[in-house]
Amino acid sequence: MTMTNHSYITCKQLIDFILEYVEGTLAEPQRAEFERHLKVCPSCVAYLEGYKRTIELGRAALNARIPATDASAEGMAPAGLIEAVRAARLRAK
Amino acid sequence: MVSSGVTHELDSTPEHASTAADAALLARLRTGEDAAYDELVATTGGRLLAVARRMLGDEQDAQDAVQEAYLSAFKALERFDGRSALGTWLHRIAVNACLMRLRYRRRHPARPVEDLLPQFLEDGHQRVSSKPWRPGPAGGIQADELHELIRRKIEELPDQYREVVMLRDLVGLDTEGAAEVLGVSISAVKTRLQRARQALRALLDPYFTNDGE
Repeated sequence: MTMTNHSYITCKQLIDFILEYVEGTLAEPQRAEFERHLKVCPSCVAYLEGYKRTIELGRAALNARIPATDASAEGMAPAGLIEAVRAARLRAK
Repeated sequence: MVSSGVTHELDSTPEHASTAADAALLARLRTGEDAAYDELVATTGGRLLAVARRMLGDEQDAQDAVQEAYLSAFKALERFDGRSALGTWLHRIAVNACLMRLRYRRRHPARPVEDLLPQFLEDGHQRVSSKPWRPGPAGGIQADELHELIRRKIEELPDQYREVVMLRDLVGLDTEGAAEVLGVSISAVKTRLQRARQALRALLDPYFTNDGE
């Protein structure tokens, strides 16, 4: 982002760095310029809020499908898997 | 400590604690000892199955993907350089096997990502002003339906963008871990993630603004 003392960054510049801003990795003074633009641009405020909601909704949707059996599956593998992999390995020899 | 690139709670094994045990097991595997192969599957298969179930959402697909992952790993054992723990290496192979299955069984055609990225005027303003989103989607749909809608929209993303979203938000890899799995640079992962999120926002926008009514 190119910044001057008297002009705001553009909407394009803001949206180009939105990932870093949301992840908290946007360094100063870029972060200050980013927030300065948000104070005068309702469209970018709306874009940012929608972007953050998109991340939350995406994570919730992807993780909503986790089978209830997984709590036990993180331990030893089921015997059926061990046998199946052994059989496949021996066939491939 | 070698970074595994995995931030998800599934990867809780301390790297240093696994290294000596890994070296011993690896030596046995490389001699072709059958019991060593069974031991590897027994101790890592539960975790790999859990990841595959999350990514594929289908039990048979998950089992098949994990079997493929093990067979690929067995063929590559001689090339394993020990820079990461065996379990981490297997995890990456399994994740890749799942990504390949997802590409093969794509249920919805991908939309060109360029059609979904925000457009700007010459002065840098958005071509179309963004509108605030409602707290919930139009039509009062239930949570399950909403989740299904969002998963369908994620499936509309081209493979390279869908995959980076899944690796970050479902598998729980950090940027470095995703880059290792995909075989691309960290910069490429960041660019793909940026575009993926912008595109997904565009796909969801009609459902959360008055345009969706």
